[in-house]
Amino acid sequence: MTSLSNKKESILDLQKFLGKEILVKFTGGREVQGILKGYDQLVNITLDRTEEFIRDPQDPLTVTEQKRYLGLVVCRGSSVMMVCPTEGCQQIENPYV
Amino acid sequence: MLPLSLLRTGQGHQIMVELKNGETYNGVLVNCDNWMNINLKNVVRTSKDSDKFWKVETCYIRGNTIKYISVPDEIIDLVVEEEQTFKPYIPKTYDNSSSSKDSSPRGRGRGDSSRGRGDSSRGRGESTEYRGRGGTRTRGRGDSSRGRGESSEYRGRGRGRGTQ
Amino acid sequence: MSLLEPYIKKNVLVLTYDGRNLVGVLRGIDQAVNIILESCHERIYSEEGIQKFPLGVHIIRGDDVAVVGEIDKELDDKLDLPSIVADPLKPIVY
Repeated sequence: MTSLSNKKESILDLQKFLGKEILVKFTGGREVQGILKGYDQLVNITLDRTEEFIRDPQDPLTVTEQKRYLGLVVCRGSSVMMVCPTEGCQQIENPYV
Repeated sequence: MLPLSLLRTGQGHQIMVELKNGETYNGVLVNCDNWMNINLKNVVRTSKDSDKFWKVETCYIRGNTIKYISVPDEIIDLVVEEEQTFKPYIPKTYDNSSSSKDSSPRGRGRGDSSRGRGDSSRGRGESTEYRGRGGTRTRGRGDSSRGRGESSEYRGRGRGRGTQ
Repeated sequence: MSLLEPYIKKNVLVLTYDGRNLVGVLRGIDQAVNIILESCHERIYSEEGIQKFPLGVHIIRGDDVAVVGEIDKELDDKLDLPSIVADPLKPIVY
């Protein structure tokens, strides 16, 4: 319902994440975490103090604990797959068991 | 039933999304759009090999990375109610039995007077008296002065702008 | 609208790019070939025969759909699934 009202607006409201740390996943498997500095309608994102999670060399789709520091980064919106704030994010035990 | 309407009806319900990379996200659908981009909240994210789990408060997932979405069975009944309110589209048929006065389709600028082109010969020079040259009123192109203007006095424009 | 319209409300089998076999009632389609399957279950092929895994209502994204085929429900119900042994399909890789 609300998504039909304003066609030009993205349903992702990045305004509320400005200045906060977010996790961004890309198509191709890269995962990056940084402080949101800016964004646009195409979901191009600028992150500051960015760290990339290194992936498992055997399986490029899983991520290890290792990180590498990237600094100020511009993420292209077309390859952004998932965006979530890190403060709401925590690893847990299997909840389905 | 359109898949996107089913998805829209699922707003506010718990859904399960599997992405192309194998991860699954179980959460409440907050919002979705025409590209299947979705906003979820209170999400449990499971890794591809089902060995790691995360609790994520809110997340945005791009539509083109979704493999499939599993919705609760009740949602499909809700959509069926919505669709019954739509009137079926019946294209207008132009024939004598139609109630409208003029049966011929108007079209865009056809009508009686050439609306689009302008009544007084603007473009091409339809008036017989004032031809395209460079006389008193140059409207259209006319016969003689083609593009460049042949008369010596009123030169070159010849396009019908009018040197007046 | 679409070549899939005659299949609506029928029992269909959908093959997806990752090699899954999904069987269900086709409830809805759109131009992007996104598919709604109702009462769908996944048929998992293995050495032990076919296993059915019920899934409920599924929206399958069109760019993951490889094949949609109509199933004759009567014939299908007569099949003895646990006795059919076949190799599972491999995912499509570019």
